[in-house]
Amino acid sequence: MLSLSQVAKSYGDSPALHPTDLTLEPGSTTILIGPSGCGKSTILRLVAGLTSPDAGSVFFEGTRLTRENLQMARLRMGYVIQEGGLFPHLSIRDNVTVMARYLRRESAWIDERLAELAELVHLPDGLMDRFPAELSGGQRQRVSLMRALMLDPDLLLLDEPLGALDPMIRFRLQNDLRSIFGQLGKTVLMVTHDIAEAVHFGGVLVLMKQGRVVQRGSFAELVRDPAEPFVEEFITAQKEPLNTLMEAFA
Amino acid sequence: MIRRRHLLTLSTLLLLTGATASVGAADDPEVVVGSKSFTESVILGEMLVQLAEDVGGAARHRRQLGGTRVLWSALLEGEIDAYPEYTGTLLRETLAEVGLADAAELERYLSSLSISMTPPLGFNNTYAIGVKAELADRMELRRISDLRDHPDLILGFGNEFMERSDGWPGLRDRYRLPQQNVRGLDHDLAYRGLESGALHVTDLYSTDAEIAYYGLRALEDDLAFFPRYDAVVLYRTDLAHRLPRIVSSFSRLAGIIDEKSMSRMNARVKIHGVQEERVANEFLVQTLEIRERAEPISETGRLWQHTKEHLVLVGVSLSAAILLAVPLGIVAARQQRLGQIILGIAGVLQTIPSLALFVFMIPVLGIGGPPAIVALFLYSLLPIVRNTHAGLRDIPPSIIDSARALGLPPGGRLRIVELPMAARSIFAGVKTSAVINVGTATLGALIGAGGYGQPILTGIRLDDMGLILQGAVPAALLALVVQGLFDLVEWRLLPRGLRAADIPRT
Repeated sequence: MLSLSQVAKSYGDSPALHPTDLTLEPGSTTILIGPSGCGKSTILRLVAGLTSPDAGSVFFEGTRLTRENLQMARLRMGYVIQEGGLFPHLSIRDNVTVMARYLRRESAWIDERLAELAELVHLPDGLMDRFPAELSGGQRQRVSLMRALMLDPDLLLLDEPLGALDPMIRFRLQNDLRSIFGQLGKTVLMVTHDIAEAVHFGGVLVLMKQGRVVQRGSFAELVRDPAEPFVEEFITAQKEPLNTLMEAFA
Repeated sequence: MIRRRHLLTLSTLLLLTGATASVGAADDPEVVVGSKSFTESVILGEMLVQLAEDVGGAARHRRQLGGTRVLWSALLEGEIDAYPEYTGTLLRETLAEVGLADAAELERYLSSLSISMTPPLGFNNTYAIGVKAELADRMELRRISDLRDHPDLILGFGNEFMERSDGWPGLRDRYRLPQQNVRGLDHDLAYRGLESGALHVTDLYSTDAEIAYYGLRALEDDLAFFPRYDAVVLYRTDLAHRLPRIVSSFSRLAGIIDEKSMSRMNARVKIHGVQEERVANEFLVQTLEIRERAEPISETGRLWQHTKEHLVLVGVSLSAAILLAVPLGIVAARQQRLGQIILGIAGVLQTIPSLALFVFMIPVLGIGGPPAIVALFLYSLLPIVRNTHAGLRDIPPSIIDSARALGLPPGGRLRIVELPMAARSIFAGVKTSAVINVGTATLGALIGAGGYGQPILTGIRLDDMGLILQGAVPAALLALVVQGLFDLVEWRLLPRGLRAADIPRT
């Protein structure tokens, strides 16, 4: 469904990503994790075409992404970033439906889809005509997810989607997200630096360090069979909140 | 539909500010008379208009244009057909480099330029150097040479006199004058400076009404520096073919105005506050028995006329500036290097003093509305370009990324996301430009564009505070109105999400 083949990227003289291969099976959830500056967000930006690779290729549904087909490919990807990236000058309704209206989808279809998504993400009623500044951070992320899902994409890209939320809201949204992913069966590629969150979503973890993939596997595999000392180090650094999980898997 | 109304932003602005230009036509059977920016020239110009009308012609008076050079080039270019001039000015200043010896040579040379000259009107309005009578007595100043012994005197001359070869530079060299403290200012203001004691010495025109009024003494030109300045009328030779009756009507002025009458007419206007039209008419009725004139245009009629002129200047120049500057700002925001060049050029244009910018336009576009509009247009670019550029660059990168990741192509991004988000900044730029434009447009009067600058210029010339206010107050009000209009348009068009006090830092 999505594969990176020897994709590399540097900004100026500093390499952000060394040549990397990565493959995502349809319907799978993949979590890119690692300390900041490890290249996890770069991978997401390369897939969304927000930055172009210096070397290698990104294949999306069998086709190599190029400048020409990028625009079309983006319509089949949903993208959510930290703090949502909502357009402050558009109402919630307009934010979610902006692309559908740009593509001149029927308004009946748009309304139906909007209601469906509001229900899916548990967005409280009556917010459609508000503006992003009038919503809470959690509500904004729900709206951002609605916008990403509007055109029913095959691939969901999430860059620290819960990074800016306070713990309570974050916990609720984590649960909601997990159940939404389960219901939709979409391919998900998510970036986080929080290992608990990564484990929560399940799926394949891809641990990165300094522009390289260090290890790829389930959380159990990472704990039981770390590829190098860094893996253990990274996990134990965040150990406290994970104690119970660690015991369960040990 | 995606908010179509954003698309309408620009066109609505244009409708609001746009007015249609009523630029003068060239080939109508109308004679265009020019005059310099001092009272005597305006009176003489007014006489020419009335003489043309007396023989059934149509005439327009471009009053008090900014200086000899402006009038001379306007005459050569055919922007005006005639204006009152002085032989000494032509010989010693305008055509000084040609090296003409006398009036006969002057006439021959002018005809080679297709310019004709009437016989002298009868008076010699020469330059003189004047001081207050009591100062002259106290310091025993009789001749210009006597100034040599008083290096501490403060000299203030009319701006033209400061530059002209028959003015201060030549005078200083001829008399070897030592004074260091010499300033240029408006000729009419110099009299007030003398009266208040801020100046000690100034240049006089020998027919100026103020000489008697302020009790001034003209110092004897003992080294015969100043030539004769016989008043004449210069006109384009083609006028004699086009409108021969008007030219022969002009020549009726030959020899009929002596120094005393000219001086008296100047005094009637400057000291007694009678309008130039009236004074010119009284003289012509008496001497040439032309028809008496009806009362000149009412004050309100005049104000309305100036308002229309001012609105055209501002409306056309500002609309054109918005149309060009917003796209330029977009390009500047997209292309870093090109952007630097665009902002640089717009910045340089802004540093040109506005008065100079107006005068630069004359060789290219002549006088009147069009050159003033172009100057104002150039002047209005920078604030709009800069604010469009800044508004677009200040959009958080995460918003741009979101728009790109959604699949919006560049044009759609600009229309749906970037321009609306930059709208506040763009509007601020437009408002700044509009206010600057309304104020700067008052300088248009110097090159014959009319507007609220006209009463201000006349007011300065006549030391009439009321007249100055007649231009300054409406100009200030207009600036407020224009700003208010844009506030209204902004309030209507600005997306509601941006009207909230804070834009979330997403």
